[in-house]
Amino acid sequence: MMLEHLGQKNASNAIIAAIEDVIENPATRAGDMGGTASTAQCGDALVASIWQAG
Amino acid sequence: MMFAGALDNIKGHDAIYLGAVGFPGVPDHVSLWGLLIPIRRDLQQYVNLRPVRLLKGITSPLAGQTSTDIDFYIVRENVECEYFEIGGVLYRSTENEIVVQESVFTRHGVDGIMKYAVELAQPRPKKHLTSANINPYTAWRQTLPTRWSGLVGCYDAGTSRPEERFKCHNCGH
Repeated sequence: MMLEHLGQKNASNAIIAAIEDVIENPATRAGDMGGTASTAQCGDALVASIWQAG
Repeated sequence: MMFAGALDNIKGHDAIYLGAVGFPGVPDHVSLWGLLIPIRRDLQQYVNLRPVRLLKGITSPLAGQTSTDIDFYIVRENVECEYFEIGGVLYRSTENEIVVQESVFTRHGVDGIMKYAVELAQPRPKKHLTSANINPYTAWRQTLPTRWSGLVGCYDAGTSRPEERFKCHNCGH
């Protein structure tokens, strides 16, 4: 939201897409949302997803 | 809550990344009045924007809802309403104790929040706006529909008129 507010629409979209990507997969979803990943694993998956999307 | 000159310290920046606020040993009113409200007021952060979207892979507590069904924003007043420090306690700790707390809505504030909501809704597919939780006993309750229509009209090109719906959660009108 902050990036979008600052006019960085592409960066904002990349983060949102990564969140959707990570949440959709139970293996990278955090335990409090019904997944099996730890907080660190979930965070790493987010970063990986952003890099993967380029 | 904040060190001296903290507000001046953050004023020079384009954005402030505000993390989660709260600590078990600190009562809510302390962090609210000592940190959040001063930041909001001083920097005129009058919009409390809350995106609500059901993401794929998450089961909603609402039965039968999928990620295509839930996608909206809550545009909430962030500096006025009950956030005014007008009120107090009379006959404290007696049987006659009475508490008065005023909610204040200025025209400037009401117009600002409505303008933000209209502009947010314009590029969205449904262009749908719902005004919720308007206190039916305030004078603004009577003036809002007119002001709302006028404001929406300002952004309306004719064919893309947003669906307007005034729903008061308190009285149903």
